Amino acid sequence: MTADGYNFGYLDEQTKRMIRRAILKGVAIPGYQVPFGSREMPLPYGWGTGGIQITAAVIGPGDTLKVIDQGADDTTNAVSIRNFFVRMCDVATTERTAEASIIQTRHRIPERKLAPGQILVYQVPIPEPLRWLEPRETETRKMHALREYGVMHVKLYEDISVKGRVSTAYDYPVLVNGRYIMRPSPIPKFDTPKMHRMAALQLFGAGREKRIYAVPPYTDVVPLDFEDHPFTIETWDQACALCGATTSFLDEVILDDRGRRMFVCSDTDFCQERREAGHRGDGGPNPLEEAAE
Amino acid sequence: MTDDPVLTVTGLAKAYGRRVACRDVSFELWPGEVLAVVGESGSGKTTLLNCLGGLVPPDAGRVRFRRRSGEVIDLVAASEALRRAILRAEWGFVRQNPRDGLRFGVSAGANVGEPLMAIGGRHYGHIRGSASEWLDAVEIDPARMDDLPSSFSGGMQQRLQIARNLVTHPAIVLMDEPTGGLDVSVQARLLDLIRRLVREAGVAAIVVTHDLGVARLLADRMLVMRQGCVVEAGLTDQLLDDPQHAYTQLLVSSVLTV
Amino acid sequence: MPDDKTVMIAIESLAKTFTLHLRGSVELRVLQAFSMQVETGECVVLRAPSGTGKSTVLRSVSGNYRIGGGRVAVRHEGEMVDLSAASPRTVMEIRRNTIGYVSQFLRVIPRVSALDVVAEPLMARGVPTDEARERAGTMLGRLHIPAKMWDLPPATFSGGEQQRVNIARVLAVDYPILLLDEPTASLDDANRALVLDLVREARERGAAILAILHDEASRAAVATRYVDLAPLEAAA
Repeated sequence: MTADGYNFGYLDEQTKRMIRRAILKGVAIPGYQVPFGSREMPLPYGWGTGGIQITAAVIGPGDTLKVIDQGADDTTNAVSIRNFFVRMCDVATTERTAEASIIQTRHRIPERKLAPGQILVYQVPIPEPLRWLEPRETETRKMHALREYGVMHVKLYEDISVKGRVSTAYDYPVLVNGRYIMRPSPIPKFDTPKMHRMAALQLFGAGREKRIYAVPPYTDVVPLDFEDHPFTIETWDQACALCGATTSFLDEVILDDRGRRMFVCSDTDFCQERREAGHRGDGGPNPLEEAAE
Repeated sequence: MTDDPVLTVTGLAKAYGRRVACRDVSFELWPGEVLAVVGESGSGKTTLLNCLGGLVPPDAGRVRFRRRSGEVIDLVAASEALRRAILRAEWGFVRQNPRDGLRFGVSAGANVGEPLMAIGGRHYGHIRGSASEWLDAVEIDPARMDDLPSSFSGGMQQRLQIARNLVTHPAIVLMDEPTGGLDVSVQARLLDLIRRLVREAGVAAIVVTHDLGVARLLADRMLVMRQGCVVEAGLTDQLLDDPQHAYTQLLVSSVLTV
Repeated sequence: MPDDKTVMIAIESLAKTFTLHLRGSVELRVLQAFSMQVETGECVVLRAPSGTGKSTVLRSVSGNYRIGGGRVAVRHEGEMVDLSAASPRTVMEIRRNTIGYVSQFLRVIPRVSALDVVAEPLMARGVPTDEARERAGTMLGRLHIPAKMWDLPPATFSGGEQQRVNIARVLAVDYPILLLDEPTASLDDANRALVLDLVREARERGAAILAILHDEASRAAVATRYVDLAPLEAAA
């Protein structure tokens, strides 16, 4: 049962309708930032208030929720948000990507390919891709409206000429549906290609900045680049120390103050599933096994 | 070269509240021609330029521009999207203050390359190549293309602005006091450069200046403005050597000669 | 020299009055009812005491002064064009292709070399840069401007050298009409002879020349005809 005195999903029904209208508008105009009346939530800005409001507006009693933070289901932020929705909606939760109908995420896209019908909700700190070069909101809205995006490449140009390569490693700007330039939230650029023609619905919520935007299923999402400096993603020399995966995004884990470290999948569910299927990594000391001994 | 003007301005007017800045300004500009707009501070010449350059919406009048395609568009009546697209791709605007015309947060090369990227340039090597050529054309060592504009002298910043504005091969370039605030020797170099580049690029230019010497050197024709009105117009040397209007005579007689 | 003479400059009842607004709108009458013609192959020298408007006639024909009254027409690309009715653009085109005007002083352009100053009118007429510079060099050479000075801006030259650059700039182009305002004034005898030779050559190729020449010897060397300007009484 939901907690006494609270509406299902914490937000009142009027607010949910307002947010749903913003979402629908966002879905209709992929990549376009829709202003919405962001509410005060029982946690501070920067902790995912935008994502929570979207989730609260779309979640129903039959949904199964998964919440990840940097790919992990067991970090403080993920656990808190998951518990919040258990108290406010009494919905089923899961750590399994495949079993979830709604996945709220901060800074990662699951490694497992998402399926039709799933919804991926991103927590967005800064929605405006043009802000670094144009601080005036009136002007950036006009630039979006008139598709004046040349300046976006100025940043890439500057990266290449000063550092020899594009140094933007996360929140890499993308062109959505050939029309709007969008910040995909601070996901590593490793995840950017997963957004392209994704089968799931992608919703983005920025609580502090009061913006919602969306990428409907199977929409083109193309990272900005130059013909002679094409977009590339990160690669690793190592495999995951736990599951041996060579195609996933790896986190470097410092094990002790003697400099021991290991690389493991950032997506904990992906790693777990592989280990359950019998895959084993060989690199590095394994604290999990040490703990088991 | 065709006989049709590239720009036909008719009845342009602008007031700020009750203060009239421009009143019934009309003129034509042909391809490759340099037109000077002279007058003292407050005569409305900068407002005229800002109206043409899309910085300020005029209250009345038409600004008909003949595009490369031959199509004639009234920039005042055109949608903002079309106006900005035309101004971006087919016009240049060299501002009096380089801080208004340059991006100080990025390198000189990025400043010159930006207009190319704005009109769809997506090849880093080509953009950099063009930027390097244009820096060379405005006598800035291409080895400095990765330096920030703030490390440049005032004259270099103005030359950088000129490169940034000519890189897209515009049909019209607006210049607001391009030599204002520069040392005399730096001015001479800049004037010579503008003169040469404008001729080589075949671009039509409108140069706002209070310096009749600049007008004499650069301009084929001249408009003399006073209190928002054009009081006299004609060939530059004719206006300077045989001024008819009392105000033009006053301007000409006020010039210090060395 | 072409056999059939053609009128190139036609001045009818030219009047010019300067109104000096800064001096209580005082009117200065300089020319009144002045008429003359110049044909191809002619070198007409204007004679009058100084201050009687000789330069004003030349400046009116070149478009530098507005036509005060009457009519000034020049033959431009086969047609007589009325300068008082011509648009600024037409006047610019006439200056580019038809009229060469040697003023008394060279208007120097900062930083532009003597060679480029001379090559400029050729290039404006579409002569390729290399050829224009070559012809400019030839003309400067004929006027005894040493090659080592060609790359320097004429601002640093002496008065006589500047005047020769000024002449080279105009005579390097075969204009159908030449207006010469004291072209030899600041030259020594040797250089004056060079210039007069060039003027004679221009006349012989068929140019219509209207000139103001100060000294009798120069006039005699090139003039085919004289026109005297009667002084007007100064109006108050």
